[in-house]
Parts: sequence; C-alpha cells; structure tokens
Amino acid sequence: MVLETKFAGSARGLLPLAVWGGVATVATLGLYRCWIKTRLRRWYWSAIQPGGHPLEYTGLGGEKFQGFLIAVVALALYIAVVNSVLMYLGFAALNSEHGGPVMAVIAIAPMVIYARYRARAYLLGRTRWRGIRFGLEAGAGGYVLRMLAGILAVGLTLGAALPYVFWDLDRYITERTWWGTAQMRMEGDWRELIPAARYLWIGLGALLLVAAAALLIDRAALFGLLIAGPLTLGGWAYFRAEGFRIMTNAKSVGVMRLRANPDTKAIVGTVFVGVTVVYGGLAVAVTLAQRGFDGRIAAISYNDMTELLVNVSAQWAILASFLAVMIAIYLFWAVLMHLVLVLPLLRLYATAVSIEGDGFAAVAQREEARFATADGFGEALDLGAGL
Amino acid sequence: MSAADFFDGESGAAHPVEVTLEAGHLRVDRTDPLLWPLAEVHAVGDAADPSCLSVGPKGDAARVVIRDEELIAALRRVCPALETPERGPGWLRLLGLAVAAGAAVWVSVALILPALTTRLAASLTPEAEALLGDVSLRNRLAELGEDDGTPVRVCATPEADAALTKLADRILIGIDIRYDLQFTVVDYGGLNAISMPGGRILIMNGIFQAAETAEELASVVAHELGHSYHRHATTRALREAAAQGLPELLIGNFPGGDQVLEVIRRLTQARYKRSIEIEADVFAHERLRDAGIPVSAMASLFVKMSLFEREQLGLASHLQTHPSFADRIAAAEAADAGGAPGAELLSAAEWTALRTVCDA
Repeated sequence: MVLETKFAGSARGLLPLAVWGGVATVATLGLYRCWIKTRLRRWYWSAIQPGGHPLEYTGLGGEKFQGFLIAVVALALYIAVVNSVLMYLGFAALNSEHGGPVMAVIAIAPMVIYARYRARAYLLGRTRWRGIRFGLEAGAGGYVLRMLAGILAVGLTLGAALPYVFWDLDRYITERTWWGTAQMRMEGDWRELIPAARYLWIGLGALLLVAAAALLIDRAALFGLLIAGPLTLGGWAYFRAEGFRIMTNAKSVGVMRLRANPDTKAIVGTVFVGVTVVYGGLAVAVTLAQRGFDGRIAAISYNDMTELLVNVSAQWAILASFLAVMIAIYLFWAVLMHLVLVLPLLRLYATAVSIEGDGFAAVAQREEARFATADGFGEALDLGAGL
Repeated sequence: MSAADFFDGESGAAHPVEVTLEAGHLRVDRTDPLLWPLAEVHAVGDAADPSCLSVGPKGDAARVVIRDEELIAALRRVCPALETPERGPGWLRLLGLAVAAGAAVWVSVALILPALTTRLAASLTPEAEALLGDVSLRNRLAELGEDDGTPVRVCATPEADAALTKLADRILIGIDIRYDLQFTVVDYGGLNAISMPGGRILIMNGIFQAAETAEELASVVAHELGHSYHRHATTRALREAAAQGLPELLIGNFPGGDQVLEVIRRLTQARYKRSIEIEADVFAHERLRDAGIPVSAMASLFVKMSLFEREQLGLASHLQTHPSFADRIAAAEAADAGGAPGAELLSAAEWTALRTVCDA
C-alpha cells in the first residue's frame, strides 16, 4: 500500500487569514501573534493530507502566549545580569569592545538551540494524524551539544562538514520522534548527502573568493556578491531539497517506509522568486521609505527645522506618517511571505512525500504531553520559525 | 448517510463507516454505533480544504474524516460549538503573567542594569578604562572626520597642553581623579567637549573661541572632569552594550521592528544622558567654588551656547540628550557663591596659547 500526500490549500483560501493576521498583529502591537501563528498552522496542517487524511494542529494561542510571557520574565533577568558581567569581562579581561558582544552571542546560543528543540517537541506534541498524536522525546541537552559541535565543525571546515552535520542532527531528531507508539528510524549513511551539497559549496567558495578579493585587492570586488549571493542561495535551496529527498527516503515509522521525490527544480525556482519578491521587495520598500523621509527632512530649511523642534503637532504628524508607512510595508511583507514563499514551498515538499506499507493498526495512541512554556522561549529568542 | 473514515483515537487504523446526522447527535455506524451529541462535536477550525472536515467529540482524539460537502454544510449549521477553540490558560492568568513580564523587563532595565554596570565600571582598573578610552577617542576622531569628509586635525602645542593641565590641577585640588588625564584638541568649530573612559577628554576648538575668559573655559573643563570622575563614559559603554538584546525579546524580529527598537534605544539613552549631564554640572559647581572660580562663568558660557540651539519641545524633547540650557543656567547661577575670585587662573600667555592652538 502506498499513501500519496495531497495538499489541499490554495493562495485564495489563505489570503483572508494572512491579511487578518497582519492587521491583528499590528493592531495589538504584536501581542496577538501567538494566536495568529496558531490559526495559520492549523490552516497549513489541515491542507497536508497524507492518504487523504488531514493533519490536525491542536496547539492553542493562549498556551503559546503564556509560554512567551514566562520566557520574557526569565530571559529579561538572565540577559541583564549575564550581559553586564560579560561586557565587563570583555572590557576588563580582553580590553576589547567587541569581546563582550561576541561572548554574549556565545552565551545565548545554547539557549536558542535548546528552545528550538523544545519548540519542535511542542509542535509535534500538538500534531495529530489519523487521530494519533506525534511526540518528540526528551533530548534537548544532547541536541544542544551536537549542534554547537556541528556549527564549530562547519565553521572550521568552511562548510565541508555540512553533509555530516545535517545528517547527524536530522537523525538525532528523527530517532526521537514518535507517531503514537511507533518510533521513527533513520538508516543509511551521511555520505549520501555529499552530492547534494555541490552547488552550495560552489556558492560558498565564490563567497570566500569575493571576500578575499575585497580584503586583499579592491573593495570593488564586493560587486561579485551579485553572483556569489544568488549562487549560494540556489545552492542552499538545492541542498535542502535534495537533502530532504535523501534523508526522507532513509526514514521509516514502525513498519512503514517514507518516500520523498521532491521537484528540486521547482523548489529552487520558488526559493529564488520568493526570496527576491519577499526580501528584495522589503529591502526596496524600506529603502525608498527611508530615503523619502530623509530626503524630506534634509529639504527642510534651517529655520523650518528649528520651528519643527518646537512644533508638537507637526512632530506627531511626522511620527504618525512614518508609522503608517512602516505598517503598510509590514502588511504587504507578512502577506507576501505566506503567499509566495511558505505556501508554495510547503506544497512542493508535502506532495513529494508518500508512505509505503500498512502498519497503521499496530500503532497505538500516545499520551498527550504537557508543555508549561509551549514554544515560548523560541518565540522570545526569535527563531523566526514561521512554521 | 454518508461514507467517511473513522479513527478511534486508540490506533492508527482507518475504519470505513457510515455517518448520519440525526436529531441531537451525529451517528457513527460501527458494530457498536457511536452517538456524538451535536453540542460536543468539535473540529480544530481554520480548515484549508472546504471539502474535508475532521470532527470528533470535544476533548477526544477519536475522529471521523468527512468528505461529503452536504453533510459538512449541515454540521456547520447545527453544531453550536463546532469550531469553538479549546480552553487555554484563563485571561486573568495571562494578564498576571503579562504584568510580571513587564515588571521583569522594567526591573532589568531600570534597576539591575544601572546598579550592576555602575558597580562593574567602578571595579575596572584605570588602565583598562584608559584602553577603552583610547578606542573611543579613535572612533570619535574618525566620526568627526566622516562628518567633514576630511580627516579631522588634532591641534597640540606644549604650551596649550600645559595650560589645560594647569586648569585641571586647579579644579581638582583635593580630588583623586585616578587617571592620567589626556586632553585632545581638534580643529573643529563645534561648541562641544566630550569625556571618554579613562580620563580622555576631547575638546573642540570652537569652545576656545566661544569662551571669553579662562573662567568660562574652566567651567567646561570642570564639567568634563565631572564625567571622568563619575566614570560616566565607562558606565554608559557597559550599559549600552549590556542592554542589547533586551528590547528584542519583546518586539521580535519583524520588518519595522528595527526602527521601533532604534527609537526605544534613543529614548532610553537620551534620558540617561540627561541625568549624567546634571551630575557633571553639580560636580563642576562644587569644584569651581572650591577652586575660587566664579560659577557664574559657567552660566555665561551656557548663555552663549544656548544661542546656537533652540530648546526642543513635545516629542523632540524626549530625544534631547542634554537638560535645557535655561535649567542649567539657573542651576549655575544658584550655585555661585558670589565670593571674591581667587588667584588668577591662567596668565595672558597661557590663555593666548589655548586660543591659538589650532592656528599653526
């Protein structure tokens, strides 16, 4: 038996929710984003239908918000104390203004990775398919160590270690993932990932060349980024798509095997178009807005400027128009992000997956996990994980 | 009656069943039929696929996946709580946590950071501060050069340096400043002097030209020495570096967030700067008085400086990094003891050496 995955979501169906999400987030100064994230995830999950049966997302906005607030309490106190001491050590022991900030990033990195794992556990714990819950067993500590070692290895080898690190981290999570009482397994060898990384390595090599040329020869070499940047982005998208294919084909759940055959070309194309529209568009819009304001302000004569400094209503008018422009840009960005990037990519990835074998009857329910802080630390540490 | 797939919530097996909407309940036909009261039939909501509805009894993992659009429409009509969200934490609890979160951020920014960084700054060795000061000085000189497009010129003569040292010694009688003071004069028209960590003080030539007497100049130097004495620059550098990452916690990373963060940063920095300016003024008042230098000289210099600036009102006043000149002038005048001036501050030759330091 082979179950293909159907994706039953359309841009037209998503549009109202995405627009409402943007508006509500702005109107509540961001407080509503936990609820909006919940609703969007419910929508996306319900669109993914392996064997015609939709995934169900049962997370709650309120529990996310609660987790976020708890995380803010803990992190605000932690950051104030740890940052102060680290900046002091940077000044006192390293005689450097950069030492402190670098140490602060290193100090927060384990927490960010830990939060990622917990966010993943929460997401899986609130996902059901065929009435059966998923779950991720404890193991965040080991994940933190592996990821830190992996980042170090990738940095030291200038990216050569990427296939190994990706395989290792994916296997770590996969083998701790359960669907009901069925544990996921991953077989195979990390070397299978090597061919998938070739374009990414070419891109990274080009980036290094550009950086070296800019440092050693002429800063004009930075124009080479116009080639090296897209090359790296394309290489990255290719690596992720091919990596998804290779690693998914290595996975099984109980007696069922996962199969994936993603349309790599379409994924790379979608990433290119999506990133150009969403981030390129954002950069252009923000630059134009900034220029517009700076230009207007530069055009004010000295007398008018001194007048402006005491004219309270004019100041409010400037502030209000600035905010209005920023909100408009945000709304466009938030909606486009979903329509041209998240939705099409999820469709391409989801429809690529199929499940072979029939061991469903042997899979029993697992208990509902409790999450005191949901994905709150992830939200506060801003993993930017839209999904 | 419509065909649907039933999942019992206990195993992953699919059971083809017939479901029927009956009065008051949804009937799921199995060997042992299930009757789900309509009031309890529940779906998670926000379904992307209008032709598919997955429902079950509220709070239960059992599901029927229905693909009959007529039945879906009927269920939407008759189930009163079909997509009512499950209950999460209560509003009161969330409100309480929100207050706690706000309080934690406030405590961090307003209490922990200032107290901790002030103490930590005080425990830095003067040598470490001097190294920091050298970095700041280099950065400042580079910034001034960028403003002008040409590198800013540093003016130095042994006579001018001796005169500044003489002024500082007079002001600091009976005070241990801890640092080897180092004055740097730049050929720059601005009416400003800047105190950096470790007793590094940058003075713009504009000050020498605007000051009409050695006493007026002394008031500026005394103010900057106040910053040095209180380690303001060091504390500020620590504080601003340590505060990074705090506002990001609340605001998160979305377009426009950077701009909002920048405004918050400037507001808090401006408030802090205003408070340290007052502290430096108070130090200057006391030192000038003890050194027998009329504090009114400070007021008269501020009057000149105020001609070049207008007080900002409304929103702009919150971004102002200095207290208003009117307040500072009044404070200086109030602090003036009115006694007879002490010994001459600088000789005519020394005064000229300072005024012409950038002429060479």
